[in-house]
Amino acid sequence: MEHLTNKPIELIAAIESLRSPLTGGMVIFSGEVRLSNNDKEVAYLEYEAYEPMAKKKISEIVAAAKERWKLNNAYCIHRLGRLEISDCAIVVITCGVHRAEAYDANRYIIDRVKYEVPIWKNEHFTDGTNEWGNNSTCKCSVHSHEHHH
Amino acid sequence: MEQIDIIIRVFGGLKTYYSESISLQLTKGTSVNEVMDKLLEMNSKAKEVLDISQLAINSTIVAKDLIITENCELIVLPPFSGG
Repeated sequence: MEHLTNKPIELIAAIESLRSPLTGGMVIFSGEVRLSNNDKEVAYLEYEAYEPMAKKKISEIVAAAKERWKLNNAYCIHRLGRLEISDCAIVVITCGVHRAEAYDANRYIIDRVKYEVPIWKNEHFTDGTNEWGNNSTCKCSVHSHEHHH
Repeated sequence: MEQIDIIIRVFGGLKTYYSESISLQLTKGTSVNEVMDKLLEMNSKAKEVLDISQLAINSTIVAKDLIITENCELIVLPPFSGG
């Protein structure tokens, strides 16, 4: 399954394709475009990636989660290009025998993707300004310390 | 001295300071750090972002003291902001 797309993410189709009789808990995370950030009104977002490395890294992260939590299935896809308010930017789906491992694995994947995958967000605001994002200072669950790069 | 051809690609906020692809001819044995110094010479305003950027060759992060011995594409990766 693809990890990057320039088209709207087909969430329902992804869920259906991952269903399995072995799964007792499926967790779905959808990262969506918010109307405001840092007290500024967002007009739209643009995402870009260094695609060969981004695909490779997402694939590695998903594989690591499947192995660590013995998941039946896992999936992550990130949208690129221009996104409007409420569009879905990233979806992570994890399928475990029980919900606990599906929740933990899902959080692990999204946190690592935000921090380790070469994807960049350019936020365009309604006042005409724009700003590149920066996830490098993170306090996510897969790291026990704060990073400064 | 033998010369090598390097293509530098920049992403994210670095595109504010550079074109997306820059071709350089360098002496074989130049370090990644020296390439970064050349970028800084081209636009000193990029220093803050360059200082916190990572470098990659063939989709793998490389150390800044790596010696470049052959033609390659060097990717400059400012802090990520996906998700």
